[in-house]
Amino acid sequence: MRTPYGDLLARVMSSPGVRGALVVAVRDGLVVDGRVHVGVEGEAVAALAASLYRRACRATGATEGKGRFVELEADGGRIMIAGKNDLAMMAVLQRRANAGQARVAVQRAADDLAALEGQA
Amino acid sequence: MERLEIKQIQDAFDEPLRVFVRESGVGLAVLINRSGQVLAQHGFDKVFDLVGVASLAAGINASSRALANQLGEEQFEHLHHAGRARQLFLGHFDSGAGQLMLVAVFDDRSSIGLVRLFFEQFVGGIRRLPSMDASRKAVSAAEFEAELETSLDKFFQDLIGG
Repeated sequence: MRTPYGDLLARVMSSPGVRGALVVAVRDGLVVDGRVHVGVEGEAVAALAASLYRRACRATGATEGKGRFVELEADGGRIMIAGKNDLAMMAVLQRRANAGQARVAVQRAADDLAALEGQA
Repeated sequence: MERLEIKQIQDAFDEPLRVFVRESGVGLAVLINRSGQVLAQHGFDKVFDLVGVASLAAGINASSRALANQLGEEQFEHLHHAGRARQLFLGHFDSGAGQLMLVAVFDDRSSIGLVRLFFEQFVGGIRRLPSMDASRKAVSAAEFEAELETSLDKFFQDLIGG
């Protein structure tokens, strides 16, 4: 199924070391669209990371419409989540990924995602 | 297939249900069989009528199965009803104890994504339980006869010997 998010996902995936990019419905933790390498369990990542993102936003008092960004770092890699409204852009990075480049790509994609949500 | 005692089933499901509730963050969970009999539950008190929820859920399952048949499906995988504050999830699966259904009620501390994720793990955990192995083969008539013969031989030998 074609969605309007293909270009955004491709841009995030083009950052070195990114193994998955997902557009996720924040409230539901469900994948709206995504590109993942073999071995990345997109649906599980989306459900768990969206849950953490929601809690982090609630804990910090982050309001809808403002840029929100959460980064999780572990031994095996990182997960980045950015969004403004109901949808968020997630990226799954391998350990030796270029985190700085990926962060910029995810945040820009999240801005464009919010713009697309505004048009809908 | 061997028949399992209801108490044996209830004991087997207790721990997996506790893990599901803890991991998914749901407030209420009840495991029922197709006739609405409660096998395990978490979170119900006087405010939430356990038997009422179980029998209504069994009814929803039966209705959705009929609807699925009309649409050419055997059965829908999951059912999800979203309200403003609370959401309801119904997921069914086959086990050594027949077809079972998990009903979970959750609010914004959880999500349908999380519930689906941990439901799959719950089902996997149940299927790994030795007493819930759905693939246990039925005893054939020939095997039953041979086993009965051996048991009777042993019984009479013990009787004569004793």
